[in-house]
Amino acid sequence: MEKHILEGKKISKIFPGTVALRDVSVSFEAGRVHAVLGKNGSGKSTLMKIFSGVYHATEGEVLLNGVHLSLNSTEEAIKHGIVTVYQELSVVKDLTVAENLTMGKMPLKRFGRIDWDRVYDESQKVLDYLCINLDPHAYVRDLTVGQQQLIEIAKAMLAEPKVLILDEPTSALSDRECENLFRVMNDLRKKDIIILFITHRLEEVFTIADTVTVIRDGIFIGKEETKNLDPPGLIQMMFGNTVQSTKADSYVQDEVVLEARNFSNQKINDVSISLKKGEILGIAGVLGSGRTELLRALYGLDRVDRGELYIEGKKISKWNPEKMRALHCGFASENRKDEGLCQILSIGDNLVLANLREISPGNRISPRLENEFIMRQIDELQIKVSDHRAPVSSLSGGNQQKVVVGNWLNTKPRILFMDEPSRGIDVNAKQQIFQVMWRIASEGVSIIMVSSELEELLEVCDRIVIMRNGRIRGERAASELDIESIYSMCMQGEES
Amino acid sequence: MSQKKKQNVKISEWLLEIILLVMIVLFGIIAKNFLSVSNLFNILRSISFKGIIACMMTLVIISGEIDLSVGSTVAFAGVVTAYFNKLFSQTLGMPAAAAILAAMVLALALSALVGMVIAMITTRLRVPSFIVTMAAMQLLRGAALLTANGFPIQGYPSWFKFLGSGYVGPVPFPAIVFAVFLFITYYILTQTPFGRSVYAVGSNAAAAELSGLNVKRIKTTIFMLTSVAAGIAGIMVSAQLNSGSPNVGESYEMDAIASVIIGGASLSGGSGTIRGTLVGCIFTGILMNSMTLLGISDYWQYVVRGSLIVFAVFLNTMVKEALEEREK
Repeated sequence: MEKHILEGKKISKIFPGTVALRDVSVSFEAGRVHAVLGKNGSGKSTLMKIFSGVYHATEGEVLLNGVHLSLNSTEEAIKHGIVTVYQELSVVKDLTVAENLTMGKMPLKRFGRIDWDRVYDESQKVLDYLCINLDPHAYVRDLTVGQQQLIEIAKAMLAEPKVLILDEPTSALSDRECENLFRVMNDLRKKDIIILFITHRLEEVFTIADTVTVIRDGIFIGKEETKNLDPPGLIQMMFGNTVQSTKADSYVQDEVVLEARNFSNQKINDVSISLKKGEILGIAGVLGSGRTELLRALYGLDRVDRGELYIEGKKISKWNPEKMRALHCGFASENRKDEGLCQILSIGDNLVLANLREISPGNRISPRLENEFIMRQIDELQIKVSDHRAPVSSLSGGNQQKVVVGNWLNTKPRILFMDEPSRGIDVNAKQQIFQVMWRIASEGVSIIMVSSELEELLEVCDRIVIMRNGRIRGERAASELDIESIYSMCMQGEES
Repeated sequence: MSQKKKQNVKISEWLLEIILLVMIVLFGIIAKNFLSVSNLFNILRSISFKGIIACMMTLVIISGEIDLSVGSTVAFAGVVTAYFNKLFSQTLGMPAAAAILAAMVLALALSALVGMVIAMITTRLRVPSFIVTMAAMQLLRGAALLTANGFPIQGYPSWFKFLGSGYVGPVPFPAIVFAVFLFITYYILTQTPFGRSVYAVGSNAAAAELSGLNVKRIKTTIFMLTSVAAGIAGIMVSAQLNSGSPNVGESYEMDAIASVIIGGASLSGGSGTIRGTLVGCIFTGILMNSMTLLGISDYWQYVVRGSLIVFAVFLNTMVKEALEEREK
């Protein structure tokens, strides 16, 4: 029997303003696990979305067993046998395993009644087929995240896929759950299925993948047999020989403005950091390393079980966002939609949100002061607006991010916590945000910045702390680091 | 079209007022006496009690919460005032003016406490305000019935009914209180940092908290203001009836919420205006009054009111959106 083969031929994808993929040709054959690697924004996700019908390629074509596929929707992709298991789980927690597996295609008896015998029967069959040891009667909410992930895969298998795309399935799993997942993937290898496996974790590539495909800056770099590769070689493929630009001037002063001692809670473990005046401190780490959780704990958004916080030498007790704001700290969230901005309010409203006291002498908002503060940030941050009374949701991602930053700059902060300040914004806006960060650092503002883009940390920060599994694993001046060393510190074992 | 743009008058912005005007003209033609001065003041007085509550309900709804307890608070505050007035004046022998004043202060303090407890349970224990205030609605109604033992409590001094049915010149006294409330809430929402934070909390509580706003304190203030407003309305209603009755105020919460929603506020929070709420109040008031004038049976009034509320909200959302599209 001929094995299935999935091909992408000369695929390009152009978004307004950026080229996400350029002329990518790649092929994947059945019976093997193919890892697809690339740093954030490399275009690997775009390629997967073209295979799964989410995006339509600007140029080029997708072929399955030599036949051209027109993929205009995810339904069409599934009909052709290309099924994707996404990073975000889509199980319904209040239903049983079997109900989740058969949802939307439940076998029926007469008068439209559900044939429960067959529901459990079929579910048991697919679980057995994948050697997943789960009771179909169990409620999904009682399962671990890893088991829920397996259910997603089982659900995908019920669609009888020819191509199974696993989008970062391990990012939320513990080591043991990963092993279980890999065991299932290993078994799937024996069937006539093309498995595409997207991950950030290098060690997983060497554990499970037969081949590695690397995409960098929208360009196909290469597809290699895993056995012919070693970690440094792979990192070299992912990052190339980039000349890393680092921060030119340092404005770090001697005074320590923030010190956190032995912070511990569910997500972070005995973390201590200190921050100097005018310093930009970067926190590197993969998702789940505790980087965002550390910021949230520092700002009093998450509870801290243990730990002491000193700001400008004074010990702070029972801190919360209101208190931190009064201490001239600010927090720019990674999530503009859910946490950063009041989307239905105006651009102007959002620019003075943290600053209502200052624009309201005598407890009454002064339109003159309000306008002053709004216009200052619109000018200084070059926010592109026709009318600041328009809802903030009408702005592009980059301009929205500027509003988030502007809201805080209006408060004349001394310490700024910035979680992923460049997420989802274009290169231009990104540079403008960095310029602003450098400018305020030169004026004596201290910044702690979290980013999953390692190059960005190297470019922007004075000093970088590396976190893994909730702990600090290393700390270096940005000038002493290069992308390879920081990447392996974030990803690999216990050394360094 | 282009001329309209120059003048900068947008139909969509005044849609509700236009509907209201059409209604007034229509009822003026078909219902006798509708446009008479005495009837108009009559309408004004009838909407004032619920209007006072609707003002503060606007804050509640903008902040993304709901308060179903206000109707029962009206009865509770009235009964408490009457009960303690009787206790102070008859049993303790206090002078009439002092007794009624002390009873009113007590009723308002208890109302404020009710609001505080509702807010505490909502913000600290994270029970949705819909459930907390639904429970409070039952509890307060029960408390009012128990305090009054099922029957209205009498014993107000005769001048006290001024608060409910008095006139200053031609203007009913409750309408003056309503106007004061309209002004206060308008001022709060448009001029103060507190008002701005009400919008922020309702639009995105997480963002408001990150910006250093104390979301719990803001919500507590709103619930307390609302309960006190219901308490004031309750005292005035009991003054009008000349007794503290445990059965008054039924469905006040629904009328107040309906007025706010007709006025364009969104139940998901973050939007709403006092101007809208005022129009909503007048809208419902006119509807009730004119149907009575036209001799429509009570039973049919419910049907018509329900239909027109849906119709008004439909106009105010769908038609407004369509108009805004065109005006762009």
